[in-house]
Amino acid sequence: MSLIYDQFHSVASTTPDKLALYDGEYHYTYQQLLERVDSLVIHILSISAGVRPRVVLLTSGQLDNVCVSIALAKIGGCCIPMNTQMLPNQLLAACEAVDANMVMGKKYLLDKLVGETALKRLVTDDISNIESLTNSISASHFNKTSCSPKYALQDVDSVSDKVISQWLSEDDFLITLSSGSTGQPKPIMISQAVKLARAEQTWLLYQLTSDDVVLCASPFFHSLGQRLTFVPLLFGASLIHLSHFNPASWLSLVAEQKVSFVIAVSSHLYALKNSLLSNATVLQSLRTIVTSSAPIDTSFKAQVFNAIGCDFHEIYGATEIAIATNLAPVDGKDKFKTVGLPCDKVEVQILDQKLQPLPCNKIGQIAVKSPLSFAGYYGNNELTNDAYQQGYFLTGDIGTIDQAGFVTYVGRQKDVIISGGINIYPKDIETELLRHPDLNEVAVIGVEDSLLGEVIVAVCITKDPAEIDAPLRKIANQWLAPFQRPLKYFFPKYLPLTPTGKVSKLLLREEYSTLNQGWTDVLRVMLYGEQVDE
Amino acid sequence: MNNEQYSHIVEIILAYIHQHNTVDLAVNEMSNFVTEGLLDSFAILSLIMTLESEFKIKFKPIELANPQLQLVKGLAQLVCDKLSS
Repeated sequence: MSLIYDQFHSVASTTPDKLALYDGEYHYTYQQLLERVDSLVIHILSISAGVRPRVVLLTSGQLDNVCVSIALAKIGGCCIPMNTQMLPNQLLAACEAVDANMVMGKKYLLDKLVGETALKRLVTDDISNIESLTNSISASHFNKTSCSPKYALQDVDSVSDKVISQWLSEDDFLITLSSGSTGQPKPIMISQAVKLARAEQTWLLYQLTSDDVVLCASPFFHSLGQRLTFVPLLFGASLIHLSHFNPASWLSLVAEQKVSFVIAVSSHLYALKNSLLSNATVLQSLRTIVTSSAPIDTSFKAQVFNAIGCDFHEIYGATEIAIATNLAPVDGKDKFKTVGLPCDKVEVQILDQKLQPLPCNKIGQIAVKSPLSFAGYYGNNELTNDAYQQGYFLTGDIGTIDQAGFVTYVGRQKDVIISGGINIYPKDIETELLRHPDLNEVAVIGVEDSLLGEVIVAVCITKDPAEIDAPLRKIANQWLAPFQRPLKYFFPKYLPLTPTGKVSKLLLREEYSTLNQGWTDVLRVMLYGEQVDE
Repeated sequence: MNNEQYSHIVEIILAYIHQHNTVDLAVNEMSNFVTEGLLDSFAILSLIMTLESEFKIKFKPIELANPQLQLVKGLAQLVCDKLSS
């Protein structure tokens, strides 16, 4: 029994003619998606030769993502969506790391990125045309060598129910490669049961109904893109997909398709911030916006609520544990600096450096025990074991928990700046600097310094860089302790993003560290009487 | 020297020291914000950066080697000199 496919089949049987997916110029009903899923199953079984398909998915098409993943769910296969921006050698290394035996996607991407390998190939270019998809199966059955020049068609019936039943018992239905700030990406395994339970968590948390229209503007190789795909489609709601985010497209899609529910990554929300209020009249369909670690102040949220009637939820989570905490609108005013309370059946602890629990309001590592946890890192039991402490997943994030149980996210452990021996949390600084109305976005990083260890740099996005330096320093002087104040401010046109849309602080650190040529020489001279070059 | 400008800069520096000073000492033009412990290293760095940004000037580290510039009046005078040059 496939939990994901059966749930989708049930929904599609109940509302076959309802809009399931809108992707640019194309739209598909539930029945149309189901037909494609079932056709793909035959294709996949045909070339899998009785071996459990472990499929790397390389595509820019959301239809491919939906149909391939649900088809693989039906037969207990493993779906591994990958970033098409990866270089060929990175991609092949990733394929090897997850023991992929098949690659599916658009032909030009397979040609460009995979080339000639031992991996079986199945192109999805015909997926939008059901007749073509079906005919190619029929033709293949009549002429067993015509399906693919490299792979003879196997008899689908040779894959017995017993074999598929064994495949379905595996717990790596989906593998998501974490973006991994350093080193190798981690292959995060999610079972069908957990994937379905995570969708149910989102339905309940935001009281979604099948009448909701959900916008997904995140790529499928990212866990948020997967969540925003399965949440509507396993529930009978409609999925509106935006391939390439920009504020104008987002706004017009929400207005045209009457989108009611979105989960926005912080970089998208920053870009939209100025447009939400000015477009309020055409955004009346929006019922809920969920954000993640976006320092959007409560007065702005209140303005949006008054103009659109739209609730803001703030969440905290990770691919390994799903949503761990949620800040509901009812708590938004008093607890706006927090990421809310742990979700149902989720427990949160704050641990010290020896991984022992800390009392309330003490800063430490956030650890989460959740029934929605991942199944482990593929092929790496040691890494999986190291990720847990007595059943709690070690997030690598820093935070606090107050007496009422509200969790405050402080930052990534690896992003903590240590300057002059003091631990400094970039989010504290970013939040204060964003008081300036003309500052659209800011990333605070630490760059190496031979005197203080690290010094603070603020990389700022603003339309008017010429006149904002002094006002930002005034804000810093007023609201931040001296050790928290950025030494330097830079004003590039944009911030480098990871493939999943998060600001890449790793790239920023690499870029700006090279610029520190004696920034703290002033102190060397004044405090220690050192001689420095002119 | 433009007295009005000099006084204004002294005021700014004194106000900054008052804001950050955790030592119970009177602060005036003759105060040495380094040796008297009025400002810690981060606050000194921030003061220099604030003056550079506010007055659109640039200090060379070697200029600040002069101990006179640890006095409020010395630093204010250097800012004035840079503004008039």
